[in-house]
Amino acid sequence: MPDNKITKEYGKRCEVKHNYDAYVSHGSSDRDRQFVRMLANILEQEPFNFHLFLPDENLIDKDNNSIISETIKHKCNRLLLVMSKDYAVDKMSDFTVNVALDIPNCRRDRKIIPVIIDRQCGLPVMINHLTSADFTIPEALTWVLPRLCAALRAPISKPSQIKRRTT
Amino acid sequence: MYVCLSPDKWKTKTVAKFEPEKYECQSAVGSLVVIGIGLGCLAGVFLLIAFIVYKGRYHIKHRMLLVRSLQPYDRLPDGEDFVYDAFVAHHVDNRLWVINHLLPFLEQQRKLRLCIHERDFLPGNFIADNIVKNIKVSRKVILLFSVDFVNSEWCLFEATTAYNRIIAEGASSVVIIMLEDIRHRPVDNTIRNLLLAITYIEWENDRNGRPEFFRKLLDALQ
Repeated sequence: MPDNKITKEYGKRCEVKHNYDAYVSHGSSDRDRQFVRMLANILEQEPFNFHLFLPDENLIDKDNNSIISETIKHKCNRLLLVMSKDYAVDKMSDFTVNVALDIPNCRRDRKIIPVIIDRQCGLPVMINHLTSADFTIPEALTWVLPRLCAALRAPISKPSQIKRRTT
Repeated sequence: MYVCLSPDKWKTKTVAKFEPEKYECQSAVGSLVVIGIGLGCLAGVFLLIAFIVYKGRYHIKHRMLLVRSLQPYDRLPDGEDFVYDAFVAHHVDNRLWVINHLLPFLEQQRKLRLCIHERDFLPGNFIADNIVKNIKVSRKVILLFSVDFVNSEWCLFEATTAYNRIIAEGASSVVIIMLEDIRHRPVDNTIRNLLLAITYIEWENDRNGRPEFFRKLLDALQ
């Protein structure tokens, strides 16, 4: 039963016990943080009750890339990439996308969900073929949240269920 | 004087008295030949008929089917379950037109279910997968032609997928609405083929032509 307390990491190993629904990868500008705060407030409350991993709150050692990789790969089901003009030029966006990219299973599992908050900021090349949740279209704002929740809620298949081709 | 020895019938009778029956004089070979020729001719005729039937078996089947097909077929109900009544393929910049004109008329007034990518595409999925899957489960495809549409790559992909629908299911499964006149511009071959294959419905900017437009649209979506 995931609780809503913020779980902190100590030392080099991840002490997080629960699985998070998504790792939220976002830029470091104030605007981005504000948006993520607002989104997390909505998604973590009723009726959605998602469990999001926010690096600002849950990560102590923000420069430790190996802990970030470990978290994204093993503790979080998906990667929520919040894309803005500032974050598009930040190397962290590419890094988190590369860590989360799982090419054999990406079609089925939908591991990366791009969220756009700035008009005409491009997605990283590796994921510009994915449908994104666009918060810049005012007419579609009533639709974007249900779509995002439906995408986050979809089940992920466990690694043991994935058949590997043996040559 | 000679006396017959056999057959028993004629034993002890003189040769002078020998009177054979008529059938005993006929040679057996002759009658056999006659019968053989008769049977042979019959067999030949049968073989000829069999050969003709074999060579023309498809024609015969075809004729039989044509005779049977004079009765009209009943159209079976659709095997596929359609989730949407129509998939609206449009450019992002034309979304206002879709939301302000198409949605109120088709969804609210006529209670049809439309598929619009801002609303019904799941984020995180491949765009191509979303397009192909949703077109497959839509009864009809509405293409909204405009200058932006013909210059956009994803819109062209939607048009190509719609064109495949026409090849598979006939020209009635796609409806074209001409939002802006693109007939005299250089366009992709797919767009050109679509314009030639289907009659399009033109959007009138003045309000008087609107009822006519909506009536035509509804007819096309039946």
